[in-house]
Amino acid sequence: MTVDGKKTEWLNFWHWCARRCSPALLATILAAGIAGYLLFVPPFHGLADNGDFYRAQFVNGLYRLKGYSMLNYVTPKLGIMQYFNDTTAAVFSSQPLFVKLAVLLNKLFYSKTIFDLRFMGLVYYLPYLGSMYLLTTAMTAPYRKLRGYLIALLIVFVFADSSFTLYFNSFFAEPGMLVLMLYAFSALMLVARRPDWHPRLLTVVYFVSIMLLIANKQQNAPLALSYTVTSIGLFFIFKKRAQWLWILGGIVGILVTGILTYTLITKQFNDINQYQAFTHGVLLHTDDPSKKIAKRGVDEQYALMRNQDYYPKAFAAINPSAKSVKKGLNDKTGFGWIVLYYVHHYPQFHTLLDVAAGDMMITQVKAVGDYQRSSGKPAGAQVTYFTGFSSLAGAFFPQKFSFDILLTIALLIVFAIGAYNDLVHKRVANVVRFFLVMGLLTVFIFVPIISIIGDGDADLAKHLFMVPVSLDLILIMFIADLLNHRLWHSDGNIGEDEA
Amino acid sequence: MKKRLFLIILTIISLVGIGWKQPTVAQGADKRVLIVYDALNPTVNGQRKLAGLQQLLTSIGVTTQTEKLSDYYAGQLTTKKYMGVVTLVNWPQGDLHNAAFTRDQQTFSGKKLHVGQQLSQAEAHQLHAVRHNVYHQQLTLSAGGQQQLLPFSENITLLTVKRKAQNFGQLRPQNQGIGHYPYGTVVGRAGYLPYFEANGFSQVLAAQTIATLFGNVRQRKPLLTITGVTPYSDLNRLTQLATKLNAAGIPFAISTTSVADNTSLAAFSKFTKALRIVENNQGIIFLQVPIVGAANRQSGALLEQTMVEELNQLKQRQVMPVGISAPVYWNQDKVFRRYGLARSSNVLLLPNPATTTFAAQDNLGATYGQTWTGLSLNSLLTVKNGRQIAVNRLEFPTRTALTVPFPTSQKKLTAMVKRVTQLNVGWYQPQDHLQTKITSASATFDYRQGIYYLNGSPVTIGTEATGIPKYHFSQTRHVALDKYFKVQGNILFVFFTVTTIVLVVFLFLGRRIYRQMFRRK
Repeated sequence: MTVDGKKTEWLNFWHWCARRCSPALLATILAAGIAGYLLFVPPFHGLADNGDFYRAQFVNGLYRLKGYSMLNYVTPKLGIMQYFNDTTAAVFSSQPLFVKLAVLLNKLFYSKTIFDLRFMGLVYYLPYLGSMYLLTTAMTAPYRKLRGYLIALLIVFVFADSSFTLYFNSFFAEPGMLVLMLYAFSALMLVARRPDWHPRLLTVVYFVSIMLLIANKQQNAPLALSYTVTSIGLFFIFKKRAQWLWILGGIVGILVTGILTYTLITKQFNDINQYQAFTHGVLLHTDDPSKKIAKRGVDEQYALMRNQDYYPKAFAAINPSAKSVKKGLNDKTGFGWIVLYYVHHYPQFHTLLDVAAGDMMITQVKAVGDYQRSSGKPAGAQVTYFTGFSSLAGAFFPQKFSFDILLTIALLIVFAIGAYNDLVHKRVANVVRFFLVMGLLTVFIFVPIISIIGDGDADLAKHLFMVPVSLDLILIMFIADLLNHRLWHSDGNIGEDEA
Repeated sequence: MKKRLFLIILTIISLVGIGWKQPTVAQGADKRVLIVYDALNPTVNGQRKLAGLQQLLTSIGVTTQTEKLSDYYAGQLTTKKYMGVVTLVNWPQGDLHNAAFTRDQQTFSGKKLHVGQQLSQAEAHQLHAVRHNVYHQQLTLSAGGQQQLLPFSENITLLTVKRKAQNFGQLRPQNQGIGHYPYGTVVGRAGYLPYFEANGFSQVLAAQTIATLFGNVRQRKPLLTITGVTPYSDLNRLTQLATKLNAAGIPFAISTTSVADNTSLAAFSKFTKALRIVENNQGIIFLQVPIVGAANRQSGALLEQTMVEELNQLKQRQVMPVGISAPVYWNQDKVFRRYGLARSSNVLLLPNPATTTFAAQDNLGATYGQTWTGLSLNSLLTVKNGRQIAVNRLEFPTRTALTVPFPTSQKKLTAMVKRVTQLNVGWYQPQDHLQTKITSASATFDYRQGIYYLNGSPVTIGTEATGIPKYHFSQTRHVALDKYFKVQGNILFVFFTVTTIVLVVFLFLGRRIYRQMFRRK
């Protein structure tokens, strides 16, 4: 056979493959295999209880069996309550929807008394695969060229990373946030790029995902503002007045969800956050805070609480929930006090932001173990299987907040040019993309700031969860559009490519 | 051959060693008193009653073991193991019984004390007494011309004792027709308390009853103790309190927690300075154990580290605790006893907090050189008919620390000093009588005749601390590659700045060129 003959054969084979397997399908299959092995093949993996799981467990009728492990090991089985459950939700959240569904599936297919953690994983896993499909479609369609498959591989490399999928087998709220974010992002981009493909349905998916996402966790309440920005693009797609009303309704819904989530934060949570914003923020990264806080009207003795948790992990000199602490500290150091303090001590705030910048790409929860006790692994052992992206990003992403700001400006400029070109040529896709990116970049910049002011560096990596998700989405879109030549013009050079 | 001989000698030595050591171990176990309770019954504060009993028994120098009635197994109660048994009934309505216990308790020949309801016919017989049930009464407890009202009781079993009984206090129902009955009763090796509370006048009389029964009565002066001091308390108020009490000639103790971290901060210097002022005003200091957030069997090392570090930081600033204070439940926990309390020959047991977090609960109460029972001073001072208990006339049969919470305002401080002065009590003088020792890793703290010793040498306490090592505030952690990533971060930062500027410049230039292309020349 000649070289040309071989080439033709190869090309024929390639076309045959491409016809049968789109990039989106490839990404979905790969993600299904990679995450499925991690989550479902015994001894399966997950995240151990960090002490917060009870909030999601008891309310949903689950209880801990003997041998329940905290922090060190994943506990594969839980008990299902058989009688009246008198615990009420400590917090308002959309997370119970997922847990209740998992319990229901467990009861239907497995047992009425014992809960297998994998059902929790399944409840996130299936929608997650759907979101991977949509995301890859949004990033690659309508192309089926080699670069489409490269983009699919990149998406799998980033979003099938075990640091994300491990969350599925746990009672954290984060997996819900991840999946919902993927849906919202892909739905919006699909509406923009393929206006003929279920635009209304996808718009509804977008709004519902965003609302559930905001309601998923208290700390997401401020994100309502960011997602209002991302929604602006929809006004460019739908041009009729009546449609605008619907979109406006959706945006109002987002804001109302945000406000509700914010106002329904319980008093207890406020106390915890306020206390830790002080002990894990105000008192940190400064030489001796004693005099500084005394100057701002708080007894200098409270400087001794530096690095203390509201619920002491072991021993403490005083119970932070004591009346005297409330009177002497919590009643004085409200949100306004903390903001003013940082205004007066900006260098300290900047250092804290750098800490946040250093933490934001580390998505693997190092504080809890990933294995079951029966695995024979040491307590708190971490999975290294398919964590390439999170390890790389965690190690190499610059640990400077100023860099983040610069990156934001650079990305805004790039996407703004795309938007401008589209506006000039009366197209919409890149305009929508610009607002989407802008909204996600506000998450990238403001969530670290809000986290530091609201809760100091306590649980920082978890509070920043939406930051790496947002940034990863932007970067994927950047690379995908660059490869598909539609970074500057939304129609790209499709004609040129297809030739 | 040599090896074998060596082994034999080794075996003999170790056997002798064990045999030699055994008496001391056995002694402790031998003398235990078994406390058997039916239920905790929080509605009547049953846990507090149980803790109060454990606290009293410890302070009269008796080791205890606490067992729930349902957990008692047949044959457990023998004179070989136990010197006495205390039956505590918290929940008479529950009518809980354990046949094995009832049988063993009857045949047991050691000391027996029944506390609460449901005194059986057999127990009453051993007390040579006749039972009388009194319903729906408010009872007044009186002794030595003093009296205090007890809470309303639904149902109480009182005794009329026939002979050879020692009585402590009297109970007088409202309804005068019913007559009066003894409160604490001791007949030979048996005793009875129809009602028990861990505070108030009844605690003092119960202490007398229990001390008499278990044979360790000594009249003691109470120690005035200020509790609830923390590094976060108002320190000016603390120093004022110390100077005022000293000026009034009242010796006192304070029970304070401390911190093991952040000791290089100015706030800690201020705290220890206040404590030195306390020491210089005839005040002694009990180091209170920390509150427990979470603990398990492995918490021992961390507790040891925390306690040693706290003591170490205090000693460097000439703050010399003379004892350890802790909630009663700490004495029922293997880890807390070993790493917290056992380092001191002088322990003050305080009432339990609302939640008790154990590390390794074993319900085996140990004793220490001197154990003080904390008793709230306020609980003695309830006024009835315009009269209150004259604390200066009370007889305390055990080491009792009369506790006063640290005042939360200036007004309360003045009122408290005034009240304590008016009580005119002959307070315990630590400077004259107290001898204590605390060991902490390599250091020993001694206190004799009012002088503090550190590792055997006397310590002078001035207003300023001497000999504090210099601290470096910025403690940087050195992580491998950390520097690299920092440099990398900076390089990337500069790179991106330059690139962004170049990009913006090119954008403008490019746009201009682009437009030039279409401009007609």
